Amino acid sequence: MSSFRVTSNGIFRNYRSNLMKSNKKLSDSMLRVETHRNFNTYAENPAAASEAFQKRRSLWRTYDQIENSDYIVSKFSTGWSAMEDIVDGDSTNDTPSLDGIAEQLRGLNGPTGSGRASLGQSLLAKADSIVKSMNVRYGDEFVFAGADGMNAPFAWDDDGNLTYRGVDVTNGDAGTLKAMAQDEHTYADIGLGIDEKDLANTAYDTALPGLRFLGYGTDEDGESKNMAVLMRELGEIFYRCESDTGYFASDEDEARANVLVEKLHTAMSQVSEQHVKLTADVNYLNSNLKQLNTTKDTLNEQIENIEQIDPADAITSMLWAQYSYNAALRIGTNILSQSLIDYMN
Amino acid sequence: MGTVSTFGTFTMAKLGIYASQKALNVTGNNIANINTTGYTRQEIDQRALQMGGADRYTSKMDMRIGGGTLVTNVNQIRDQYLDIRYRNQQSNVGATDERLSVLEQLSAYLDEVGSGEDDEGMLEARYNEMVTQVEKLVAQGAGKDEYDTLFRSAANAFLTQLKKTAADLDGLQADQEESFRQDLESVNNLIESIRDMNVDIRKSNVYGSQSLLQQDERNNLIDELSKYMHINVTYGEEDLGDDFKIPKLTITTADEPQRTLVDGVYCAQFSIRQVDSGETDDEGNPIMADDPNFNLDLAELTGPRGQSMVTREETVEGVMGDTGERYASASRDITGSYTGDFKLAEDGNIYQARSLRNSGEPDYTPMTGAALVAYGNESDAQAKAQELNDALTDEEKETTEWRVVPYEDEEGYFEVHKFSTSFDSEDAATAAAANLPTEGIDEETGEKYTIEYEPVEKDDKYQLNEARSYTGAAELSDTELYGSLQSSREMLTKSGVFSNAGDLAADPNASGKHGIPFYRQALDVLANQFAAVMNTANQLSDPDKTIYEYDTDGKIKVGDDGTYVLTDPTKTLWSDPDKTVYEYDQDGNIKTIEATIPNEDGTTGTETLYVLRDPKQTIYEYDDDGNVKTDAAGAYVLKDAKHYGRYPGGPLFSSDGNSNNPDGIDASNICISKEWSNGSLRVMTDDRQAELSTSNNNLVHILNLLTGDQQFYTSPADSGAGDLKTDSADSEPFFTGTFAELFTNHMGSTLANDRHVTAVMLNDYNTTADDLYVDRESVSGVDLNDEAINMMMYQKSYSAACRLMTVYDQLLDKLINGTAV
Repeated sequence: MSSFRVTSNGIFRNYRSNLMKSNKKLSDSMLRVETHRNFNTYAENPAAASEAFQKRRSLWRTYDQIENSDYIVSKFSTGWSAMEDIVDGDSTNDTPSLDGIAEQLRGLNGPTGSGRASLGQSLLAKADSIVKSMNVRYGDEFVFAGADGMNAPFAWDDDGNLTYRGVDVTNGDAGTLKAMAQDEHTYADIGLGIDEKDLANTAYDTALPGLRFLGYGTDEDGESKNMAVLMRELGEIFYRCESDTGYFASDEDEARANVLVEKLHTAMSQVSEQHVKLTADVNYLNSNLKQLNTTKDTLNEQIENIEQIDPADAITSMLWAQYSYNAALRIGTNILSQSLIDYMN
Repeated sequence: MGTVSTFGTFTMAKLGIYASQKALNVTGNNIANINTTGYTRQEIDQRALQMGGADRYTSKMDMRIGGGTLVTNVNQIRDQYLDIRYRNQQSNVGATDERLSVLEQLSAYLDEVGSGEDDEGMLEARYNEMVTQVEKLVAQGAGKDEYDTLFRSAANAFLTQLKKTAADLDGLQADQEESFRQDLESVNNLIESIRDMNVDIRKSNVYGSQSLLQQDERNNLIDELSKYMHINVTYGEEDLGDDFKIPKLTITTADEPQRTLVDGVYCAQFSIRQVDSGETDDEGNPIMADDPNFNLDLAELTGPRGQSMVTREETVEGVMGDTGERYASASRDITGSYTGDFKLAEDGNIYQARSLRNSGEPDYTPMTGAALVAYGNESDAQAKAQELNDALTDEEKETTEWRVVPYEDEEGYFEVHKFSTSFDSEDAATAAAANLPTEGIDEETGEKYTIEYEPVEKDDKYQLNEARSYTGAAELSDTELYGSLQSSREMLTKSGVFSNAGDLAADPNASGKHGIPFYRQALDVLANQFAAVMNTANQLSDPDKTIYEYDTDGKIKVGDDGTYVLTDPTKTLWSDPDKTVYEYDQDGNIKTIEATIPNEDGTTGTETLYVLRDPKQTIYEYDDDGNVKTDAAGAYVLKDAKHYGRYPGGPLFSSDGNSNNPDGIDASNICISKEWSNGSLRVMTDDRQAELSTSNNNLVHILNLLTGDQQFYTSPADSGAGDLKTDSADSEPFFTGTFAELFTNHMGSTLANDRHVTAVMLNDYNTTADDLYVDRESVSGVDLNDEAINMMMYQKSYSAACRLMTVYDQLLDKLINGTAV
């Protein structure tokens, strides 16, 4: 064996193989520039590709969570507006604000009061308006219906009692009322890492049970804790007063009114509190939405960093590959064909 | 003075011209064949001619001059060591090239990088779209038909993509199988062609020809074969007698145990092992089929006319080890030769199956396969029997006993027999009638041999001779070969973590080898588990299916009496005309009560009964009499179809689009169930049977299933009840992660890493193979510079020889015509 002997076909074979490699490099670098991708198959960079898929999956979910949040914000905002109408009064229906009612009630503190009858009328209208507001819908869904969004939650029954899903809000079974007010949840994924084992901390409860907002059941004196019920009963009593003098229709009415006024103040302040809480909820959802949008941008950037080329780098590599390939071609045309035979006479 | 004839010098010039001309011919042949594949450069073998013999009269003044030149041979210039290295490398190239080729085809279906809209992948994107619909269903769609439909459409798109991928892999598997068969045929053809070339070359050699071009052609074939498998080529000699030897080529597989593929004019052929398919033909004979693992058999070495070649012969004797005495296990018939069913066991003992004489105690009979050992004296026999009895386990002792009995035909000899109470006399009779095996397989090497038995004469009664003839035939083990054929087979059969115990026994590294079946089976697991967890999540009344019997549609079976059929018949079913569900305790079991039941005879008794849920809380409409309403077709009327929270649920996915069968689901048959697709079944929004229209706790559960981690096992423990994959024998899951991660991250990265590593290896092997090729070329190849120089050299020598002839001609002319005239 002579390692010094180099044969014509040996040179050709080497040349062919190197030319192919050079061409492959050029083709790969061109593909990178054309597709703007660092890798075009999983095998080119398994670790990066795997990471990119995880990030993309997170991005999908973030988009979902943004959409979920948008929906919930809208639903809660609709609920908030309804509560706003209740608390601050509705100019279109000309119903008073809760503060206005409280003011008027304080003004009618004496044994007489000429405004009682008209206040009574106003209270009755307000009680009806509250129920209508609480039956507000967002899309197909009743906002304040807890987990039974397809059915209107509040209604006055034939006996004038307010019912929530058919259960008397004052005298209905206390356990049932509590369950409907406290134990109904409809959780949604807004990017808190939803885990069914700990939904309270990892998901957002979108259920807004109307009972919780207006109050339910009876207090220690056996009186209703529901604002609309109290308002309606008080309204009826005031409505029965003499329109001119404001005298109560009976002593019982007066005694009852005194009790109810006090209870109504408490109920109204609790409704106002719920309104404030709902405001805080909407604010929280809005800030969470902003956070999700930031996450979305960050994820997009991370995915780009993994998958996308640095154009300067990629184009420089491609030009270098092109240069090498051209040089290899030149060798082929100029040098390879020569041998002693070409110089023989 | 040396005797040189007057015209002898002409001959010298003539030889010079001949030699140069031949050399020029060889140069021309080299140049002409410069591009002929496998051509080996040739050169002439030239020797100076010395006129032989002694002169009759010698003088010390005498001197000898050579007689010119002779061309004795044309040689090839080859380096066999380089051939070996090149061919070794070729098997590496073949093995990785084939592997990479299949991996690339797999990637076409499974590699999601850069595919799909916005590079989101295909199956990955369909899965994510499906999860998006579930997210929407959770956040805003509970109780709304349109969201349920959107989820179903997205799920259907996912399943369609999954089935397409599975079908693509099935197609690839079929293509790969065909490709393997073609490769096998190519290998067989190559081996046969090499054998045929050997026959030609041998013939030429016998007649004294060198057959250089045939050798080139044979080398080409061997190079080709070396891609398919790692081979070892040796050049030996064949002695034709009278000290006349010719070269002989032998090719074996390179790794132990080396199988002979070509031995001179004999060659072997590969075939796919035939195994019992489990089916029988019309006559009840088993139908044989190709081994699903595509294991290979090597047939015996045969010559061009089909004559077989015996590679080795062995004689095996049965010898009693501990006493040194020879023994026989044969009984003699009246002619004095031995008959019976002999078996030579691994322990060196000879065993015989036959019906032996009765010991006199009918409860003990000699056992099939019991050793019969003959001894020259009774005490030795007793000692042996005692030793054998001591070696029995307590359990064996209950049915087995070794006893000494006199050897009937030879006085003073005794035999030790194994007796058993559980002896089956019919088996013994069958065994006794059976013939001796004529073929065996060496357990260590898989090599096949034929067996002949030497008749045992009376004087040799303690010896049984077994002659084994090896013909090269063998059953190849799973990992014996290396090269493209083996890679092709591995990609066709290896299933990674899905390898069963048999696969692992055949190849201890099987669990790390990922062929097409791995990816296909992983898809099945994905489909099966996806369907199982979703179906389970969507069924309310009996999530574990422990209480009721189910029919193939996934519905609870109804008995003749109109009640549900319980899986536990020991508990009496309280009459359940409304077919309502039961109250469950915290452990998920039906609550029971002790009820007083009137007996037929008027007395009363106590019975344990299931507690029914409040009938008014059931899912059906009731009439004024408290009976469940039925529609025109007799089916119960649901209370409110829109109240999905009240819905009892059912399988969302089935193994057949025209049914609701949740069993036997895999990636090729998974479908939206009939009920879900026609809208009579919905995704259950609530699993607590609360009558709440937008309650979504079950939807949250489903979302968690789709986005949370699952444990994936390799095989189903239970084929019923939704086929949830769990494997008691293999309690560790092979992967824990989400469904999408199983596909994209686990399967995807396994494939990607395999492909990446294989491509790097192939590149290395190719570079080395190229280097070796060039090295080989540097020895054996034609170089134009070389040949140009030769051409000039031989041209000059030719001219010089011609010139020499002219000079002699002038000399002779002077001598003849110009001298002394």
